[in-house]
Amino acid sequence: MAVPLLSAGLTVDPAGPLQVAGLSAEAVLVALLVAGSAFFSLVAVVGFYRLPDVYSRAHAASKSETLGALLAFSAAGVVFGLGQASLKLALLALFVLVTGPTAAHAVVRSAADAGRTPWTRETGITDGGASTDDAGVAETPTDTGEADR
Amino acid sequence: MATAPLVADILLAGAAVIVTLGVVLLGRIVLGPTTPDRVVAVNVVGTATVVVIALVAAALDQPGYLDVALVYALLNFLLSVGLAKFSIERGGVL
Repeated sequence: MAVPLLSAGLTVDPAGPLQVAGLSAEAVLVALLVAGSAFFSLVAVVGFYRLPDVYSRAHAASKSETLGALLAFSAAGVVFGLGQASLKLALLALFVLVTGPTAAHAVVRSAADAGRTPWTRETGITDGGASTDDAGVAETPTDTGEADR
Repeated sequence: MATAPLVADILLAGAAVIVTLGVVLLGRIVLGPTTPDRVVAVNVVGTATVVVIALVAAALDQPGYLDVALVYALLNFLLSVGLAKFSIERGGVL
């Protein structure tokens, strides 16, 4: 017997899988995970174009892109089910979780050792940076960074 | 045990979205402006490539593709750390 929930077509059958509007539970879960992955990857790309500095860009890369990758691996793991493929996906997720922020940290530390000064509101882009006007950043004055190069 | 067609379509749509985002990130690689910017952007493109390989493996029900994804993730990490170590004279990072 199906128990209606939320009166929105969501019914729980105690003897069967969760059915949402005629879709299988696997499809719904995979759709949610893939949508989350695409969203966080989009956030990372928007951050890459809007943020003014290598440090803030590495911040966007190491957090948002890693979470998007983990959600995508979770979606693939749901599809494959338990087994050898899921074990490979778990290894891949662990590896991306460890090495993504580590690689970003290494690149940022090398940039800091090379003397890249971070962006601040007062100085603008100073050392080796250019103002990213391609995405229409209104907060960045267009005269900073031009005379330094 | 083939993947259901609806689930395969969802996975391939997500892979298409992430491929598009990776192509958009190539613009950040082109307009830098500094080398660390480009290295971080290449790292993110490599991670997106690993994600696309995993999604396609799930959609086509080919677990062997995951080995390719694992090796690619290793090489991606090696690229970033190598460039970080050797782009500066004293390789003191990590």
